[in-house]
Amino acid sequence: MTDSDIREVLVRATSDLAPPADLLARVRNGGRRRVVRRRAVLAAGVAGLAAVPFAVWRGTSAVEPEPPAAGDLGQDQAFLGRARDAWDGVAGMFGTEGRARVRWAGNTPAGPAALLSQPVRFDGGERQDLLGWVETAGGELRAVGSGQLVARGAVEPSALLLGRLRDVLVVADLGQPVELSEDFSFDAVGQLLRTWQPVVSDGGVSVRRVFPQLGRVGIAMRYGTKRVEIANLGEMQPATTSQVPQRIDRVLAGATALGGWDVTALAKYADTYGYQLNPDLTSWHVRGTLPDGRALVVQTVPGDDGARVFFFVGSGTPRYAGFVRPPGLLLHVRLAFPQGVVVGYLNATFRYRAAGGPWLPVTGDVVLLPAVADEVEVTPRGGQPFVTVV
Amino acid sequence: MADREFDEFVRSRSAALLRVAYLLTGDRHAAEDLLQEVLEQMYVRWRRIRGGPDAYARRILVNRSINRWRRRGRRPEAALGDIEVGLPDHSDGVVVRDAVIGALRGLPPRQRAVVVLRYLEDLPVDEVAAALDCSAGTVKSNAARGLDKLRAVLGPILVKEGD
Repeated sequence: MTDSDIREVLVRATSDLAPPADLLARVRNGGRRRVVRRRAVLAAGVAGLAAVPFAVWRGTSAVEPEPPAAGDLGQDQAFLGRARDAWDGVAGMFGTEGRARVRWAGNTPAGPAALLSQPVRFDGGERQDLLGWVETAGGELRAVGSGQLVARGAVEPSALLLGRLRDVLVVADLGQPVELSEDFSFDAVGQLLRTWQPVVSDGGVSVRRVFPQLGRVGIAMRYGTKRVEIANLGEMQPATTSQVPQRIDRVLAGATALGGWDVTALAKYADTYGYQLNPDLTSWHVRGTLPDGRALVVQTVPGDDGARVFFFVGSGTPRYAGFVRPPGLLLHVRLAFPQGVVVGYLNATFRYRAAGGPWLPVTGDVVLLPAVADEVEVTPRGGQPFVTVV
Repeated sequence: MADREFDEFVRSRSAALLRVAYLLTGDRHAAEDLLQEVLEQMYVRWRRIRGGPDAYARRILVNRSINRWRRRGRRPEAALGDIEVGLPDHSDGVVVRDAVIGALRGLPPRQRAVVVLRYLEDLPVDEVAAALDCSAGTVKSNAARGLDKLRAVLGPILVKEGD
């Protein structure tokens, strides 16, 4: 068989395939839901209005007058009109129906903001509510992100980070017991530490100053077991998409027994209610076997400003190897003597040496080096070699 | 504007991407699910996709298909006959398809991806390398090994079919 024959049979094997007729509709509906999950653009109502049945309001077809908006700008009809205008520009892409309802409108240190909702009808006839915020940017009102879709009548606490430094936190708690953690740290074994305090709101919305959240969002918010989403988190994320895989899986050469441990599955190590600005951070998951026959797992847990490095040896108990800044492509873990040193760098080649001796080549972009190794030369693909001490 | 561009991309490219997904997964339904996942991800990031949506789509299609394979582990995959219900006929097309899917399943995931992108999509080596985040040399060696295996499996079947 020639290359052309191979090409021909591949084409023949797939020639009768056609995408489903409703693929685009499914993608758009699914994509909108992803916008909700990923960009976390959501909203809610306010406690004072929660008593008003949400489903009663159906835009212009409503048989009841629109409930008044809460907040110090809730009676400012000119502002409400401008908020609706800003909202309509974005909400229109969702196929919204009727007129948006302003649920809260108020001043913040970063300018006026508003919370709105509007019914949405999907291609299949399904109806949901679109919830979202309007903020002040450059002196003008603009809709935040793309909005969150929730079941008709459902409401959820929601938050917004405003200001040039992202240091103004607006939280709509809907009367739910929302809790805030202003920052986090890690203890000596790499577990997450947070201190929680209740959010006290006025009329269902709290506006407060927090530490600047540029480049790294340290705050976390929760109600019950759910995270409060930050509506404009997606707009704070990097503008480019990483070309590096999000997860680098490797098995070390000569591995015989492999462990399946994963520190991110352990609740004490997870930042369940926190936020990550960069959704494409790379993590390492390396499995192998030590010379003594025990299974080894090395993994990194990346965050916006660095990565925690863990390893498991022969059991599901994680050991903390420290925090590296920034979360890069270089993996380096020195195990207890004489187990060796794990070094990795995506698609690179390595040489190592001990005590100034000759450079010795090794195969693979993740390697378990002898414990005596103290220097590694890393040659990234298409890049210049560099030497690092291990 | 961006919405119209995205719609046009889906309309113009979904058939080709579905074929790639099908050969990567070996399962029509899994391929449709995979394609939908990929397009949904692209919908969310449409304004931020750099370097062309085709290349981006191929890259995440391959990554996700390999990750699916990893999640499955090495459990034996369901026989094609179990998946493709309602295909009792044994027309030439079905024979070819079964043979190709069976042969591709015998390849490691990345080798399979190289073969599919190189020979179904007819991509140059550097674009395949970009999709798999590997070197051109790796693409060439994977393609050569993959083709050898495909020839060994498909050759007798297709020659017999053509006799």
